[in-house]
Amino acid sequence: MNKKLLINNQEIDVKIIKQTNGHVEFELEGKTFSFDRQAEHLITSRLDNNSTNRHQVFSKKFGEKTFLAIQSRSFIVEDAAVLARGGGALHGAMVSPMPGKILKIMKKVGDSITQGESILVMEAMKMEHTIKASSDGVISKLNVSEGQQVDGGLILVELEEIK
Amino acid sequence: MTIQFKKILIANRGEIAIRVVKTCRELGISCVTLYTDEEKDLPHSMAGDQFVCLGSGALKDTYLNQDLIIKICKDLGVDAIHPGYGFLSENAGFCTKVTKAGIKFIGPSPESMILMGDKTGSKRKMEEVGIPLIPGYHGDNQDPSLLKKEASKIGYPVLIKASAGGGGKGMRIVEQDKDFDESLDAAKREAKNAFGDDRVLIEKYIKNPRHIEIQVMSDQHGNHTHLFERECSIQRRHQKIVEESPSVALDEKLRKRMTEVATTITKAIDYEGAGTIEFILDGDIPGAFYFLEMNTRLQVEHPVTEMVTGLDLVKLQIEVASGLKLSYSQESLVQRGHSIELRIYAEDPDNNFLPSIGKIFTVGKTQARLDTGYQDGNSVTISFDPMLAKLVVYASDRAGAIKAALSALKEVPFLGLTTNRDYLSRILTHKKFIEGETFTHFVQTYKDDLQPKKLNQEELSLAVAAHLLGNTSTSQISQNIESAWDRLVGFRL
Repeated sequence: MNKKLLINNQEIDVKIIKQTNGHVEFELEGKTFSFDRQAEHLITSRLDNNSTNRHQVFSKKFGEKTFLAIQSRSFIVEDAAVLARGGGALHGAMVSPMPGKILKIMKKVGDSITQGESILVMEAMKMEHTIKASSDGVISKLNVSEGQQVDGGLILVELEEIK
Repeated sequence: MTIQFKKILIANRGEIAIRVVKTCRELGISCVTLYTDEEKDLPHSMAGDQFVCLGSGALKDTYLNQDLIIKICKDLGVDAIHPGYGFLSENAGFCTKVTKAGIKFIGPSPESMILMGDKTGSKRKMEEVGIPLIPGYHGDNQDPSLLKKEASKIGYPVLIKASAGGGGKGMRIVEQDKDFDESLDAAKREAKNAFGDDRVLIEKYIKNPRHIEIQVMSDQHGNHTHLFERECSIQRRHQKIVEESPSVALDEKLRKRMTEVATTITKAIDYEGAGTIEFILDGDIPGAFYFLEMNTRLQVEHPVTEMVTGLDLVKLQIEVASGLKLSYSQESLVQRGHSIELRIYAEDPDNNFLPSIGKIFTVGKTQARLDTGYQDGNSVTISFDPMLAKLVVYASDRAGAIKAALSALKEVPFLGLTTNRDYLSRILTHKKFIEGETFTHFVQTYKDDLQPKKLNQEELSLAVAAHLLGNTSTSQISQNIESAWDRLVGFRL
């Protein structure tokens, strides 16, 4: 089965060969990999010469995202299909940082905005967060309304970027 | 003589509140901690033997609510307040109120705080006692030819600054004599436009500054000691992110000079308790250093000093406040080994250091000292400073400390949040950092080198694997909840 994943917003094609409980084999960039989950933060990889490599990988699947930490780096992995669901490309889309409630929407579809301009205010964890334009553009879609409860990672606003 | 305090209230939050509790426990002193409605899940809320909720609202109604804090002290029979850092720690008015209420403020006198808190006043006092200040002209006479004369007296390069200024407006660096007039005109024009005041001052421009600070500790009996230096040159947006002791920039002779200046200051102002004297060390003139300011409190980065001296600074603060004499002599102190502190922030260094918020699934465990105010399952909000933790390592030399720091960074992912961990490891592995070329402009100068590397195939494959393998069947969060105490291992006394 072929799958598109987004790793820190970088698109990756993976061919899954085998996926059972605690074991996975896949093809990535023309190379075959085989991994087993041994413990909460421990994954091992099987090598051709019958030896095994140990990898400390902190990971937590939360909703549709997997939060990962390998060495000193942090990653977020998600299925590309999930993200595309709202019909929006990644670029020019403002995503809710966490679950919360939409308090106020200052713009409407068709409005031109400049980078950094406030589009809406949401409340999450008792704090207000202002969602700002990631680039200059025209608002092409508003997926939420005032008072609405939203999940984290949801595309709130889509922008048509002006290049 | 023993410490007379029976109960101490910690007028702070987060990692520093937990840090102070630890020492109180060791000294057998009962302690009171504070928290707000929003902080019920954070470990500092229940760190003390007694804890009081400050309610909710703005800081002025909670951690900065002086009358409320004093009332709590009276209600609970508290003898002394430890202010931590930030908040009310350098508030002379609070210190006076506390003293009037018959409670001991663990820190210096209000007079010391007022004197050192005033930038102009403190510099005047320093001048009086012969402490080196950045050479400059701060006079009222603004005659251009006089200003030019003063500039050559100071020696080029110089910095022309608007007297009323800030934010880099009305500021010009002048490299040589012949450019002075033009730069002065430009600076005056800008100052006039920005502040409606075209008066300027001239200071020596230090191209390659290092931030070196000396930890001081004085008792009420006239004993003024220093606990050596910390180098805190690695900063982003004027905030320290890597601190170490000793500094590679100091040899024995310079260390002796700087520490002597520090104790001259504490003697001159009859200081009491822990303090830090900050200096700028000029990287281009061997041995040239200038007084910057004094912080009249415990510093965030005090652990590196504890590591190399083996002293507990909070314990010393409490002993001194209680009227005890310092338990050591200056001559008996040794700076042993090397310690590095890394400040782990919830922020994205690759996106303008934008603060990040979210839920911490896993803090992680390390043998290194980790001073943090968070535990697994906590949420990080934008209501407080984005500092998640201080990771403090110790080794026999600097190279060893760098290696230990790199290893420890990998063990504390603060999973779920975007952090500066990888950025810190990029700094620690940078050739210039390893060589000790640490100036305050480090992160700016090597900005390009400090960009993230592209993900390699191994990282990608592990990320894919972890995503496809999913979670283990048992609930990770509930298994992992542990007290922040367990993570204070490695704390040397």
